[in-house]
Amino acid sequence: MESLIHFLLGPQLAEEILGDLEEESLLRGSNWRRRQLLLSVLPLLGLRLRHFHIEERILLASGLFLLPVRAIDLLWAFVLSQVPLKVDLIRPTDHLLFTLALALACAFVCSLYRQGMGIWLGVAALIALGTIPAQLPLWYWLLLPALCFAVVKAVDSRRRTS
Amino acid sequence: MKILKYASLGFAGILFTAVAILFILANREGANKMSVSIEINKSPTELWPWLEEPEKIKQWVGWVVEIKPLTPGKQGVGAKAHWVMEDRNNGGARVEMDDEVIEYVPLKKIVTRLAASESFTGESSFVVEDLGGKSRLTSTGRYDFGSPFVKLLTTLVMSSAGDKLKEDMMRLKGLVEKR
Repeated sequence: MESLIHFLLGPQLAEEILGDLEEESLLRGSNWRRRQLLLSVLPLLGLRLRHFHIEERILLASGLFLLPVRAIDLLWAFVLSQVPLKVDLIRPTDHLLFTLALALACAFVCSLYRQGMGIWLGVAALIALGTIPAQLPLWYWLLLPALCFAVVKAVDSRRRTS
Repeated sequence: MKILKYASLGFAGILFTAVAILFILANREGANKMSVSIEINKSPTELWPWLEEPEKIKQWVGWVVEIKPLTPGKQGVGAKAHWVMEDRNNGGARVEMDDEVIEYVPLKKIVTRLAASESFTGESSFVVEDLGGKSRLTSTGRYDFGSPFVKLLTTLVMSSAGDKLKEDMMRLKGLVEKR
């Protein structure tokens, strides 16, 4: 835990803060110190990521977009693999429309959190499309990245005007 | 952080709603059944071999690799076969199942019981009606799934199974009418 705090704060600041915690823990006990360290990790991680916007965008695009989109496709693949007399390696249109709606919702959440996500989500959408092992129709290949990009642009422009 | 909290709550809400809807749908009467009916411009005599000869069945049921009779020479009730299918949605895995004829009326009806170990059990039937030089073929299927998770997904699985059955039946129609 302490080495993570060192990584997140840098050696100098970590030394000072851990020293203060050490002193305080003489009065409050080691459980209090451990809790303080645990509670500090997430906010410090957030702070660290804010200093590196690109890293944050990659994290958002992969965690809040690519991961759910691929997860839902894995679920569809599982559903299709359970069909008693097996089916083709395709994704029916209703499955694709559901995934598209989910992807747009994810794109919306990502763009609320950070602006300028358009390119990142476009790339994440192409990665998702490229890694789905099924024949996908052309309209889906075009719509998924384009609509995600459009959602991000719409949220960004609304943010600018307000 | 607030947005992430709301997003997580929203996601949990959507997930809960989806599971509740799937649960209700999966527990409807007939949720695990499907039925498809088509008219074929050939008599029942010309259609019938396509419903019981392994080499012919392989031509119209998609993704069948092999049908091996387990009771060679036996026709009708009690005849058993071992099916091997390829599952392209599971990395091309081979899926094996056994079927046994439990009802047999030549040129009219054939009902089989299907079982794939731990995955599902079910019944599949073909009913042929003579329309005077033409036939109406009705296929019905009922499946019970072993895993609770797949039971929850019954509606989605059966919807895809119904689409597959329609495709297979249209392929059968094409093959029978071509002869």
